[in-house]
Amino acid sequence: MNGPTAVVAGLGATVPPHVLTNEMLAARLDTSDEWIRSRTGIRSRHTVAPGTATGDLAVTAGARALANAGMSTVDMVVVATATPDRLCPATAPEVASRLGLGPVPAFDVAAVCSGFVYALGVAAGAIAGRLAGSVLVIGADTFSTIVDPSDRTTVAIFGDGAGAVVLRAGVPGEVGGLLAFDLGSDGELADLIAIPAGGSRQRSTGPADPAAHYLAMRGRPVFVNAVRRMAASARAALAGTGWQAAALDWLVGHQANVRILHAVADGLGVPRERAVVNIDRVGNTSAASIPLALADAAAAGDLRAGDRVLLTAFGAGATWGSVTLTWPALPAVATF
Amino acid sequence: MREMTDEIARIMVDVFGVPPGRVGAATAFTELEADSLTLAELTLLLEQRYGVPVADGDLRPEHTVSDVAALLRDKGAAGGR
Repeated sequence: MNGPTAVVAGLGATVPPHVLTNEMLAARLDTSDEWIRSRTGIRSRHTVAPGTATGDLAVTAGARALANAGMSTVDMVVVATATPDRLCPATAPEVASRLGLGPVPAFDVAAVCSGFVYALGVAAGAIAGRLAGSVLVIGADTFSTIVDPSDRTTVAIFGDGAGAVVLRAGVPGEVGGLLAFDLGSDGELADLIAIPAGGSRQRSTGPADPAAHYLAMRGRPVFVNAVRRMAASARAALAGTGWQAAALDWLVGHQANVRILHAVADGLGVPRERAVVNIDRVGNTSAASIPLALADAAAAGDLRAGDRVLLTAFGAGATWGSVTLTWPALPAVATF
Repeated sequence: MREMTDEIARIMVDVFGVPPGRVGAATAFTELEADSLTLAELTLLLEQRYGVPVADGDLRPEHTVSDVAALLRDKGAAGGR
């Protein structure tokens, strides 16, 4: 692209206050802390109280990212989510209004766990095409509202949260710039992770089983496809940047499962200690997972200005995406 | 063939923390304390090691190490480098 480069100017994140531990799950389901930890790497996750919606978390994360950027206006708001406040309309316009951003274009991106990377791509394109000089990109999800509370395989994995970055127009080579994207999908895998009911297909065929409104996931094929696609997509983004995997300072993968993160790092030849991991305390937060991991790593002082960073994700759809960037010099990012 | 079964047994020992004495050509996955994701991890490792596509679902819990070696050879994998 010959237009301006999208540069990360601010970062913010939030999780709801309630902590759901493995022990709390073990008290009511046929599971245990050891069972959950050995299979997923997760110890606890945060879940919203009834009445708290994805948009509420998105507003908090968005406000924090704007404050971190020292900005009070942007030209566009993109919310990546698979758990919108309502099926219609999109969540982003209300989030933009609640943030006092005025009548800017605002819309949702639905690419589930790859949503944040997709939204970054859309926003970077808007900046390169001079449609916007700055974009607030928010990844927000509340999967606790769509998992079956009695399904130990999903309820133990997913948590709620939101994370956001502000992108602004910059010049090529500037620190903080987004460099090369790789995005893709395979609709033949649509049934791997899905909520069968609630959309137009179910509505057109009559009432659904109440259980069809919950998220269903096939763990083993998801695992295999996630590792394959994230590794291949990461390689494509690295090749597009002209970086070797060995030169990466940080691999920030979608926090789906610590064993997926390790397998992707191993496949790429990136040492496991270069993979950012915070799934142990937040679980899989879908579109929020990458910005939450970035906020954790930034707050810990791990991410330093100029670091070579690769973001990579796989999610329902199936969708996948990766992007390379150099880490910007940001004011201190608060932990959440 | 022998070389490949030895190597698959070694992969099981190294990667999945199985005691060395417990894995031989006739050992089935069901005899090892492997969870459901272990076969997914092994699928990816074998695909990478032997350069042949291994589909999710090719490896079944009842398979032995030598069944897996036979499967890989059917797919055109060369035994042991």
